[in-house]
Amino acid sequence: MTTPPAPEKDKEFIDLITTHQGIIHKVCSVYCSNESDREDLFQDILLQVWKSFPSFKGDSKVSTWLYRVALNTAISLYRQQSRKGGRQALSANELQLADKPHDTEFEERLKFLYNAIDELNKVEKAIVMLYLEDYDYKQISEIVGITETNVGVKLHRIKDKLRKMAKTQQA
Amino acid sequence: MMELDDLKNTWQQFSKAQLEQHHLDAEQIKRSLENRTFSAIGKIRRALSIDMALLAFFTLLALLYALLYNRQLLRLLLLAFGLIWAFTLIVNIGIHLLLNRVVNARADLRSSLSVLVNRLGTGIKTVYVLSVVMPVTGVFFGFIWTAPHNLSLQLTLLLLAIGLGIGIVFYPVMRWYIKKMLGNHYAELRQCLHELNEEETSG
Repeated sequence: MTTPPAPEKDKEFIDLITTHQGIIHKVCSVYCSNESDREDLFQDILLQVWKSFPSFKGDSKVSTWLYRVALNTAISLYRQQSRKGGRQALSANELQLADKPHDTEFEERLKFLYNAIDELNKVEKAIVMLYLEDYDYKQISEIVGITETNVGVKLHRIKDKLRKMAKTQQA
Repeated sequence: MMELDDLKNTWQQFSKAQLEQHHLDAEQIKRSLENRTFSAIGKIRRALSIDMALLAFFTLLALLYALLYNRQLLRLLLLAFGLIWAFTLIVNIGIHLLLNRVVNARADLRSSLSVLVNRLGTGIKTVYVLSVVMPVTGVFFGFIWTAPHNLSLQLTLLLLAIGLGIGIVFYPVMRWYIKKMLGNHYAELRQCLHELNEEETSG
């Protein structure tokens, strides 16, 4: 069992989370269907990061380590509480980019991406998210624990699925 | 047609917007962490309360039966239920600790999942076996502890039948309880692991 960070390390931990919280938000948006689940998962991930923070020696990049912890938590530990209905549709607020005027093409692409990710299983979600984040096969394989070849195989399948979905949508 | 690579930019813009919308400052992060710690403790307390209430109900039924119809059974039942209570407490706490602490967050997903699935599997099997073994042990232990005469073969078989009878009643309750505690979570984890392993062997 890991020892929680000493009080003097608290500030370091909070600073790290403040800087890299985007990673946790991304994982939450991929694995949760609504706001309350998202908040729960965010807190679960935060707790796991806090527990494993003392043993983080910096032998990998902070972002890689955070993705590992966040994905491990989302897939292994997290159990969705909400059972009512399916995934909530993206709100107008989420569809609208803060610094950009109304962009219909962006909205359509985002809706497609959001629905497509929702159709994938938990492992595929992890892989596609890392790919969208521009991680290369080697980095993805280190986080997920499968070989680079298999990352390629899985991504190929995911791309096929996406093409089929796009075709169905067009039809 | 939309390709995954064409969607990278859309994803990155969306992530940026999400971060702006949900950004937490240092104080909010601290509060969020504290809330989760309390909420985890709350879950354990809730589960324990439900468990205890259920067991209390069965204990009461058994003791009432003994008091009203068969007083000789009273000491035996007290011992048997004492053991079941102790066992249930251990299982309860064990499952929560297992779920909260077993994942090695620093390991890759597959290694972490393997450890979790193996330990959960072993834990669940142990609980099922113990749910039958414990009542049998309880009955024998209770008899030897309380009865003045020696165990004959006939008596041994009778005690075994009583113990197994309690075990057979207790087993589905335990299965229901484990399912209630873990739901489909264990099955989902196994499925994820299977998928990762399958790719590894077939790829």
